[in-house]
Amino acid sequence: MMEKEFKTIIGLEIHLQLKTLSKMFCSCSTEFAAPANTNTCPVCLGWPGTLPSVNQKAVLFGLKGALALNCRINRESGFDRKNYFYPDLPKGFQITQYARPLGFEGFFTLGEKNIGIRRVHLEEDAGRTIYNQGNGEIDFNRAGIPLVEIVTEPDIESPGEARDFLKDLRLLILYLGISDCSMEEGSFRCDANISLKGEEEKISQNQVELKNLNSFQAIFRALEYEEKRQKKALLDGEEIKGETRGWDEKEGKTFLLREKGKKEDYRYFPEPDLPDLILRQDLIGSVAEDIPEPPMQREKRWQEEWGIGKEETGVLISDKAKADYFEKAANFASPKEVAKWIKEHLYAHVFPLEIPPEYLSEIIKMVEEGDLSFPQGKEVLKETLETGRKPGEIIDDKGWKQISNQEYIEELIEEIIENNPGVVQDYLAGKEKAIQNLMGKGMKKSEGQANPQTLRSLLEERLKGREEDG
Amino acid sequence: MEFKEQTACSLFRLFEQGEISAVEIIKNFREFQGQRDKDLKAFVKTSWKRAEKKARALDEKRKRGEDLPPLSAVPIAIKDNIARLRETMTCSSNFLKGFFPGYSATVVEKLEEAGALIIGRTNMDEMAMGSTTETSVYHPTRNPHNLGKTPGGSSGGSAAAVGGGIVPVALGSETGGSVRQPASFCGNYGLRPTYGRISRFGLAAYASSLDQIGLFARDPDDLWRVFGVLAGKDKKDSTTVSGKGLERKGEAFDPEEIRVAFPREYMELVEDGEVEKRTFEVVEKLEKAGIKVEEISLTDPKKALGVYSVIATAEASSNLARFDGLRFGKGIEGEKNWEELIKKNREVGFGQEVKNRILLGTLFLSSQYREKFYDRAVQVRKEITQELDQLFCNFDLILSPATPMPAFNLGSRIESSLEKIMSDIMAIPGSLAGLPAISLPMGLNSEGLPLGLQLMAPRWKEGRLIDFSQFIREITGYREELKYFSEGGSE
Ligand SMILES: [Zn+2]
Repeated sequence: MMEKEFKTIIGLEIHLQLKTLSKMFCSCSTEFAAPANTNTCPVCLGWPGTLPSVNQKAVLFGLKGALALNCRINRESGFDRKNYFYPDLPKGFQITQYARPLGFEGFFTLGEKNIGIRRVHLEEDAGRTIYNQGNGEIDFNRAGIPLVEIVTEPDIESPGEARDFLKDLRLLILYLGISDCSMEEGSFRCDANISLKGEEEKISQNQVELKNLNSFQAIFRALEYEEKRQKKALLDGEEIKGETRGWDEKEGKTFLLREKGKKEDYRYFPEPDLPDLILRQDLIGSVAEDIPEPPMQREKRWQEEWGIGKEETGVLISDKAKADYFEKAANFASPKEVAKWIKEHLYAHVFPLEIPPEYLSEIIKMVEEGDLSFPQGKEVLKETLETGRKPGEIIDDKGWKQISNQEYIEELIEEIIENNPGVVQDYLAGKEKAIQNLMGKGMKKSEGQANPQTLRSLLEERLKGREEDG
Repeated sequence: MEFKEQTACSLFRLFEQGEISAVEIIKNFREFQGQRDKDLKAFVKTSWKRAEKKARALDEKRKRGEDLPPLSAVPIAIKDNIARLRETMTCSSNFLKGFFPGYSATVVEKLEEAGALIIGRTNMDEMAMGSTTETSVYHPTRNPHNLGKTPGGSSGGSAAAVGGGIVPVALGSETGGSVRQPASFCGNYGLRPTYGRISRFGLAAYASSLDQIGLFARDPDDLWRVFGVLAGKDKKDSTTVSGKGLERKGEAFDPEEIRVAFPREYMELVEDGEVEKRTFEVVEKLEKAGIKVEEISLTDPKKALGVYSVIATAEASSNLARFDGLRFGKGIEGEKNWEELIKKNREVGFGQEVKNRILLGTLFLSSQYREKFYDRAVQVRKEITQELDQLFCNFDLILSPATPMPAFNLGSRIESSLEKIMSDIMAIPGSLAGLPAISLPMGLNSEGLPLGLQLMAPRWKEGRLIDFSQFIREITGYREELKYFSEGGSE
């Protein structure tokens, strides 16, 4: 008998801290490593009498995210209060967008598939509880930092797909420049909902929510564990309970955090201290114009149009500064060569490089065209990176420029032949090594600048022609 | 010269002309306050030293011949729910005893810049919830015209301070009718500006979509002067509006252009024969003076009151959630579990009235009742607003009594929440609609208690309220019946 098959259904909720200088509703700094409770003021501490004022930059960042995720935009959105008590929540409510999110009904293209984006909305972060010898201490520096929450549709079908989605999404967000997306610093956080459904069944099982997943690896492993656990339970005829589970990295297991009995009642209502958020069409337009080509699309273009290998594009695309630099340099030299140089010789450098991309392509082009030997090219690159001087100047100083000009080299060859009839005779008599002697004379005469390969091939051609003549 | 009988405008003029010094003003008011407030208990805190220091600086400024800002040397009191740097703000609640907000409200900054001398903080119902000033954690405040009566509330301290002659002007706050009702009970002019006209930054919130800072004075010109200083867009309060001019016709005001609406549903709420009779007298006097007063029909204010109770308590349940005793205010010691700690802090910190309203509001917003109560209330609020806006297409002002009854006995209504709310029912529809309104003196009743009249105007037309109040004062003489400065008062 065949084993019963299940379909895995995963939905993700991602919280991004926006990279604004100040908080969502006050002017406190958002700096990450500041000493506890130094980036606070009466507003973000929720003191009586204070009122929120919306950080316009955060709205623009949120809008940029929503547009990049192909969302429909609520031109009239607004804020709501989500009411609940928690020690790290200064006002006893969180200002969020509930009824009218900034963006909705979007999608994200993952490979050949579109993952639905249910909503993208703005909200404020809560404080952070630090446990110290059993006592909770709260750092309110984080309270009020602007967040964007992205909620996907349950379109993800495997833990691997979830991980790929998150990696690609993170890259997109980095490209947009709206968040640092650091999982370690908590500026990129993810919760996952997972349930299974029998192939034949219409309704899926109860959802299990996974929380506190702080690396892509953890997300993947926790989902994989949960997929197996639920499958086994279902095959054993057990029921899956709707619950929230955490991930124990050491044990490699998920564990029960709390059961989802009664749904918590957040008593949402429109935030009366803030007017509606009205987005003018021209503003939406100008933000849309500011959105760069999505990294996945860009990478594909490099592969298809420029024939660059996956390995190279992978290295280039992972860092927007590197990718932008590459693309500029590729305008002046062969993109394939530029990609190779960046991957092989500049992997340890921080992009954008200190030198203009034109310098890099100039060097690569000279090596490519034989004007500079490869070791010379590397040396010039090293020096220009150190000093910022133009590659041409460095080459001139070193007197390294190779001359591949055919006319010049042909003239040179005529001169050597005329001045060294004995050596030519030797060569013609079959002493192959004599050509080294002639090469040496030519290099000396050109003060080392003649391109040795060109010189040799033209010299051989010339002497062989003479052979035939004779 | 009796200092205390001067208006804000006349004090400013005397000071400007060098006839009196700011320090003298402070000295005299301090003396009177010391005597008078023993009976009234209008203040919870005075700041004479700070005021005196400021007064000296103003005297210097005048000596140097510098320009003097519009409220120079005018003593002003503020309600205890308005934040001021280096001063406690307690909202007359046990929860906030000893709480220093560490910043100043925008209105306080504006008063200080305008040269006003802030002399102290006035008593109020706890967290502005109440209409008698009896839910204050400190003490009840007494009505200056009869010490056995309530001054009204929740801004009862400010109303009593002005009505008792202690200051010419005071700031209060209104959610439903917490300025107009006590102004009426204490014989003052009480102005509620248009919602969004004066910044709420620094006003401890009760119900944000209704809260508005209001003013008390004994003279319409004083109201206008202070109002002019406080009005305007504030970037710290996103609900304030820019580009709305302050417009008062003054000398050019022609009362005969004013079409007055007189809603019969408001009159039907009047519980007191003398209030009813006096209101009709006003109408008669107006008609005699050539003003067209037309009886009209509006939604019953009782319906507005129902809507108000839902919205105000719902917002309050959220606004007051921040009071957990952890970050500010008084918390208990020795409880380790935070859930228990917050519960205990809120149990001990809040009085009964506040707890009732939080519970009600929580219920109205709960998923079970939200549609039936909160959503429905928001809808009806819109309808009431539209109805009033519509009416103002054909009328310039709406006239009614300010309260259905005069001030009642202290302690008499403490048991019954609903009746207390009924005392500011006339104010509620306008508050829901965010309209400007004023309550003004309508003389004294047979017991010597002040009666009050209310005028409502279209959005941003505070100037019309002031002009018409002045006109009523001239044709009725009701304001002149009031005795503000008699010490003691009968019981
Ligand atoms: Zn802050």
